[in-house]
Parts: sequence; C-alpha cells; structure tokens
Amino acid sequence: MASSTSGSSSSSKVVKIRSSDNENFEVEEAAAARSETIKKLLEDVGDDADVIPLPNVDAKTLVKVMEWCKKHMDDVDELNKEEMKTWDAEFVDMDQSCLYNVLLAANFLNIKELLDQLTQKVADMIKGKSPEEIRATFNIKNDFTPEEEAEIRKQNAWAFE
Amino acid sequence: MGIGFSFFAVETLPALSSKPGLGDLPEDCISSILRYLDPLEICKLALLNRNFHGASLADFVWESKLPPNYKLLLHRAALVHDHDHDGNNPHVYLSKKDIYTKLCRPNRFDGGTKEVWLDKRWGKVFLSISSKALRITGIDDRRYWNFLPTEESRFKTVAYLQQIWWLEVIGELEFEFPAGGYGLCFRLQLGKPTKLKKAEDSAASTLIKSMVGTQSLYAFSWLHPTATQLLHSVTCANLRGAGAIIMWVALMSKTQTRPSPLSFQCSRLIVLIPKLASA
Repeated sequence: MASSTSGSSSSSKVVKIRSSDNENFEVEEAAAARSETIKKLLEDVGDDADVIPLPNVDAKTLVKVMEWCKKHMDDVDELNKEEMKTWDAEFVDMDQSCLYNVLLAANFLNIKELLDQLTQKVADMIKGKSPEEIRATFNIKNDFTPEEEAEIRKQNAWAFE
Repeated sequence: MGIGFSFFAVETLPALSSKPGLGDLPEDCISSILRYLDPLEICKLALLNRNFHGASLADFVWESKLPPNYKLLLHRAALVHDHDHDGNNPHVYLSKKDIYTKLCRPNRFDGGTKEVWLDKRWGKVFLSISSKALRITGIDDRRYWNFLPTEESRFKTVAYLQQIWWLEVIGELEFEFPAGGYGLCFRLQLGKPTKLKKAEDSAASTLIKSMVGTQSLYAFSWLHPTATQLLHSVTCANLRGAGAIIMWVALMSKTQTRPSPLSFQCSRLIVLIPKLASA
C-alpha cells in the first residue's frame, strides 16, 4: 500500500493540504512541491504526512495558487514558452485584493517564480505614477511625521536633482 | 434611527480603511516589487510610507542596479575620497544604496585627470578624460597651445589651440568596464568657451576673437581597441561654426561578461585649419 515510493511513480502522488478556513485539498505532489515551504514540510514528515495545514492561506487564495502550481508543474519546452507566457499574463491579471492575497501566499509558500511574476505585475502597475496617484490607487496612508519626510527627501535629494 | 446610523458608520468605515492593500505587504515583498523599478522611481516611492521607505533600503534591491564591477569603481572612488577628506575610513560599512549614491557622483582618479560616474537612472558607467591626460602634439609649446580655465569643462580647464598644422591625440586608458556597448567621443569646440573664469575672461576672449569666424576644421580619427570590437566609427567630419560643441563617436562593444581591464588607444587625430594658413 505504502510501497509506491519509487521515483517514477512519485509524480502522480497526491498530498493533502488544508487552508486557513479548514478546507482540504488534494494536490499532485509535483505541483505542491513548487512551494519550497510545502516541499520542506514533506521532506520533514516523509510519507507519514496526513494533511499539511497552511494557516496563512484561505481556500480561495489556495485554489488560485495551486492552479498556478499545476500549470507550472513540468518543465516547459521551447514550443510552449509563448503559450505559457500568455497564460501567466492572464493569471496575474486579477483584482487588487486578490493580487494582494496571492502575493502574500506566494511569499509564505515560498514559490519564487510566482512571487517574481506577481511583484513584476505590481511594479508595472506602479511604474510612471506619482506618489499621490499610487497612494490613491492602492489606499496607502502617509504615516511619516513631517520631520521624517523631510529627512528622507534630503537623503534622496541626489535622485531628484 | 440614530442608533441605526451610528451602527452603519461603525460597521462600514473600519471595513473600508482596514481593507489590506499594497502598503500593508511585508517589507521584503515590497522590496521585491521595487527591484523592477529604476533607482529614481525607488527613491520617489520611499516617500510613500514607512513600509516603502524600509523596503527601499534593501541591499538586494540596489545590488541589481549596480554595475558588476562596482567594487572596483568604489575602490577608485574611495581613494579619491581618502585624498579629499583625510581621516575618513574607507572601510566603513556602506549599504548598496550608499554605494550607488556615491558612484553617481563624479569621482576623480588618476591624479584628478579622469572622472568616472554612474548614470543615475540606468546605472551605466560613464568616464571622462581631461585634455591633461592626453598626449597632444605640441601641447607644452605656448606658441601652439594654451590651457584656459572654464566652467564648461568638468575639469575646469581646456586645451585651447592657437595655431598648428596637424596634431595627434593619444589617449590610453586602463579601466575595468563592465561588459556592454560603449560610445567613445572626442569633445571639441570651435570658438571660445562661453563661461570663462572671470579673471581670465578678457585676455582669453581677445585671444579667441582672432580665431573665430572663418575657420573650418577637418578631423580624422581611428582607434585601436583591444579586447573590444569596433562597430562603427565616424572617421571624417567637416565642422563649421563657432561655439558649437562637437563630438564624434565610435561605438564599441565589450563581450566578456566578467569585468576585466580594458585598454584602448585613440591615435592620429589630425586637425587641419586650412583657412588660418592664409591669415
């Protein structure tokens, strides 16, 4: 029963993960292992793993992240690179709160490639906007005292000359 | 009803303002976002809030902006720094952002005859060599050449040609440029520098007046780059006019990915001023 430990069959092995709102998911191990955090947990607990709890990620976000992991489970050959690029571009095109949650999850689950794609997406949204526009768009409050703000302006004066 | 309204206010307002947004991301996530922006934008976004400011200082953000040979550049800069303010310890800890900021200022080396700096936005290496570091035919003969002080030169002085038939300018440079494409320019100017240092102003302009107006200048140059590939060189130019700054350019590409010493020689820059001959 638990003898399927050989390398060839490991790709179809399934792991169970649980979201912060207690929903269980079954995911192919190769997909789940895109997350360094899950990979490390799996290595630590070995085959005894029952369900891996992910207390920082809710079900809705986890579905989204695992969708990405499944798509990126295998190495992409040259032919499919363009297709994958399009898929990735559509994937990161999500609303702000979703983007925020998936970014946090990718950070916690330590999925570097996904994190890179998401941070690139946010950078593209920010590029060319004034600080005031960015504050309004992303609901960011200025929490500096006037003295702190003046000090940072002074430190960065070289960039604005 | 009044109670109803106050409930409304209590329930909705905090919900709106506590909705997490970009500003609430962990600092290292924001740093990862900033990595994709250019240095000027990073400095601008440091003013958003404390979280962004903290994120804007991360070494890994700035490391990606620095040229691969920044340690060598810093070494050159630090030597100058030592020279200028003795007592300063060059081994004091510098963050990657500090290093970037320092390298964006013009840093003199080789006895103050060369300057290196980074372009603020792209972090590309720029280098300028003073006429004092070039071997120029007859440069020590006052009948041919003068050195004029001027604010127009970053070295505050230019070699001013009085009369000559031909000349050679040889420059040699050993410098650890990062791999990439580079342009090489000679900076010439017909006529007088417009921003002379005041004390020298009247004498210099008398001297220049005799030169301006009728001259045309032919120039020819070629280059012997080592460890580089010469892509294009404008070899001949007929330059007219007074007061214009003329540059002509050769493009070189350096293909090694690792920084390595680069030396090249600019030789046989021949300048003819035929109209002066009849004067």
